[in-house]
Amino acid sequence: MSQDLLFLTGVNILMAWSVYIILLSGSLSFANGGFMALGAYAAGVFTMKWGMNFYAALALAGAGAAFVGALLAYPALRTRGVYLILVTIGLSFIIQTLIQNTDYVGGVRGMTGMMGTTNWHVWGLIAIVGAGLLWLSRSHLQRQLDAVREDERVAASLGFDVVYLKIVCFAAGACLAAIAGGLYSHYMVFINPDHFNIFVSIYVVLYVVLGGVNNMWGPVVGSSVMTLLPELVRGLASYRPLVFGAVIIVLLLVRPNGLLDFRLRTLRADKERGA
Amino acid sequence: MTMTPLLDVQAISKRFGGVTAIDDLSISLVKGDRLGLVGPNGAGKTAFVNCVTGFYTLSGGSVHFDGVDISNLPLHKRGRLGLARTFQNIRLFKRMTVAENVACALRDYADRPFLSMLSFGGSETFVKAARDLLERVRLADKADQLAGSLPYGEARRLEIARALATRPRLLLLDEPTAGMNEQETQELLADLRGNADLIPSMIVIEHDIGFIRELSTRVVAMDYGRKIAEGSADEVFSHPQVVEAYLGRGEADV
Repeated sequence: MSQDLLFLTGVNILMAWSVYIILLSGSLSFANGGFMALGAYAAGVFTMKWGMNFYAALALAGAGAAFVGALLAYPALRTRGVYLILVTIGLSFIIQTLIQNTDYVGGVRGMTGMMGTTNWHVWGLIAIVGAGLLWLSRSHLQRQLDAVREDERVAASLGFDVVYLKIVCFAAGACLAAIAGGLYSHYMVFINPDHFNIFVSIYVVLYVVLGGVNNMWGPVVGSSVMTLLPELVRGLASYRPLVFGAVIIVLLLVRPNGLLDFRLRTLRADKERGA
Repeated sequence: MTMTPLLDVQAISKRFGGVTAIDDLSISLVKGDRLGLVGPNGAGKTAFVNCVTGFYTLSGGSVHFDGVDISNLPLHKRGRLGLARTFQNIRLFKRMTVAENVACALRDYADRPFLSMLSFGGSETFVKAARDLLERVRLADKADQLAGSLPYGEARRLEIARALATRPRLLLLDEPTAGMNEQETQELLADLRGNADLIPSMIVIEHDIGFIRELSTRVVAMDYGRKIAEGSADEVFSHPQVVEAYLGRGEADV
């Protein structure tokens, strides 16, 4: 596998996890392509124009996106279901348009010169985030998030601050998407606003839905398959949307809950019995 | 000296468009009360529970809990103050296990989900606490099953255990015996009595008059969103308006 393909797969896994993290609290975000753009451009500005260290730039871009995400999440999460989806789609457009019209970052012409990302960075981050998600999956927090996702109102009546949980998840997802964006721009050298159009957001959500939304491995499988499939089958690369459409239809028929449809239990009660 | 009421519902009303579900209703109870709430279908009993626990916003009136005005508090703050409920149409987290349903609600951890992340090996604590509660409602042997797989009666008991996990100061049960046969009803009665130490105060909505008589210290009857009688079970069930609400008006009165 070429370095580029390995890199692309890694970035897509990080992006899929960024959607998955928001989905943990039951919100579906089509804004992550936008957050990715924020991170790509912010990190680019930090290293190129402000001469900041690569890692510091990534961290600051991530923190900034988390802040923006939390700020936007509060009003956005007051809407539910399909309305929340529309709000996040709107966010994607707004961020793209803002970048297109900001001359400081090159506007529609794009920005160039960012470098420094290697596959080690991407896959190292995957290991770290993966370990975090693995830890989360056995935790009390995961249990509460699962409850929120199943029945928000009942979860709230048990004392869970549902809005707070949702905002934290949204901010964390935005942060990861932005860091993935920063890694992306410093690998690609050149970026322009078109790299982060609404289809990026849509594709990433599809990775997660196709892979399975109930455990952390679903997004990994979904994004890997959907990144590698069109590239590996010669000639299909230019038919990416077509392959996507076909795979979605087939999967919805065969595995409506995603490729990996299982939920990890946060605790096993019978463990105690033997002791 | 008068005791501060634990729950003080003053002249609340709830309207949906032109429909009035609750109309100028006042109910108060002190710590230790076990209030039975009766009335025909559509009388507004569930609406009352929804108003108290925060599932409905009030159209008018006020609700105080232990002296605190909770009329406009969001759901989770009322939960943290000590209000817990069950649902007429059972609302479990069906894709989670029986033990997880209880564990997620445990009071010591419900308020600080992120801090709980830091407790390594904390799962033993949760498992033990959850098992203790499940044993109290005779569900310990089903701890690892999915909640959605439980039969009706067991699902109701799990919902009660989940509510008890929040360590409620006032438990509101919405038709806990609905759909149960006589034996299951008796078992539930025994369960509630056996767990009296975890239920300091209670409001129970029921159609089963025997159940109400056994369990409640006081009874309120409702019809058309209003209180029509209040007192001991005997007083309420022989009250002419209550009899009329259940059985209809006598021919002579038509």
